[in-house]
Amino acid sequence: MQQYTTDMYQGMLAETIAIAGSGGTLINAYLARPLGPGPFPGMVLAHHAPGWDEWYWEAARRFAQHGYVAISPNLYYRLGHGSPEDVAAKARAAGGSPDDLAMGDLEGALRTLKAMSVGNKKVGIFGTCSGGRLAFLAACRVKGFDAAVECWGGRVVMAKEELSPNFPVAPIDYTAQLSCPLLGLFGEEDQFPTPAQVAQHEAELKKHGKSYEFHTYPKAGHGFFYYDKPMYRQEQAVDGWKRIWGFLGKNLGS
Amino acid sequence: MCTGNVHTAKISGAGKGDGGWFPLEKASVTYDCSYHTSMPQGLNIDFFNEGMGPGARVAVELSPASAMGLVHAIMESLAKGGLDPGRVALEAAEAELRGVKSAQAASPIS
Repeated sequence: MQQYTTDMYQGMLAETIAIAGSGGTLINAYLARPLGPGPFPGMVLAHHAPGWDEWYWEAARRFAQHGYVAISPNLYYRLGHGSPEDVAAKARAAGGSPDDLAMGDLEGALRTLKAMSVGNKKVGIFGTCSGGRLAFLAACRVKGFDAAVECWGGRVVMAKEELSPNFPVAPIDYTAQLSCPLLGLFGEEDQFPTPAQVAQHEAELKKHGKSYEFHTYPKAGHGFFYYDKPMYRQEQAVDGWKRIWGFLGKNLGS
Repeated sequence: MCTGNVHTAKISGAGKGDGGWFPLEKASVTYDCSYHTSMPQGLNIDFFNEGMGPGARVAVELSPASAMGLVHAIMESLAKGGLDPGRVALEAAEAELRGVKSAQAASPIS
C-alpha cells in the first residue's frame, strides 16, 4: 500500500481505454493508475449489478490512490451504450452477464495488467455484489490472479434450479480450483448471500485447504460500502477497506 | 444481479421516458437488491423498447407489499372493465399457439 506523506508528489492517470475482452473482442474499460515508474501491483475490478458506474470508477481511483494500477472492464459492453443504470437494467432483464463471457473479459483485464511495464506482475481481483461472485469465480477459473477480494458475493452458492445455460455451474463448485488467497467481507443481515450460505462457502474453502480470511460484520446488510445508498454502514465499511489494504499489501507487494 | 430472480413478458402499450412517449415491447420483473430505497430487496419493473436502445426504459422499484398491491389493483381494474384476466391470458396463449402452428404449416419439417 502506498503511504503518502505531505512532502511527497502525488499524481494519477484515470481514463477510459480499450482492452481485448472475451474472444478477443475490444471492450471499453476504466483504468486508474498512479503516475511514476512503479512497479505497481495491479487490480481488476469486477463491477456490480447496478452496472459499470460511477461507484466503480471512483473505486478504481481509490485503488490508484493506494498504489495500484486498477482496471474495471465494462462487462455490459455488448449490451449497447446509454446511462449506466439503463444498460444495467438491460443486463438485469437478461439475468446478468453470462459467466463465460464475464470470465473472458476479466481475463482480458488481467492480461492487460500483466503486460504493463509499470506493473510488478502481481494482480488481484476485487468485486462487490454480483461482482464479488465474479471475483471469486475468476479466482477459481482464470489462472494468474495472486489475490481475490470478494465482497458479499450473492449466488456463489446456487441451488440446482437456479442454474441455466448462462450460469451453468455454481461458483462454490469451483472451490477446489481456487488458485490464490481470498478475502471475503460480508454483512450479517444480508439475505444474498445469507449467513448460512457464507458458512457453506467457508466450509468448502476449509475442506479444500484454501488460504482465506472471512469477516462478517454485525449491523450490516448487503452493499455496506455504498456510501451513496441507504445500505451504507460507515464503521463496517471503514474497517472493511482497512482489511482490504492489509490483505492486498501482504499478497501483492513487490 | 444477486438473486437471479428475473421474469420477462412481451407487452404492448406505450411508456413515458426522458424523451416523451414511446412504444413498449418488453417488461422485466426482478426481485433483487434495492439500490434506491432503504429496503433490503425491491421488486423492479423495467418496461423497454429494445430496438430504441437502453435509454428507452420506464422503471419502478417497489416494496414487495406495494408490488402485490399493484397486482391486485391491475386485476381489479381489468375485471371492472369487463375483462376476465384469466380469459385474456388464455386468449393470448391461444393466439401464440395459432401463430406457432401457422408458422409450422408455412415451413413444414421434412
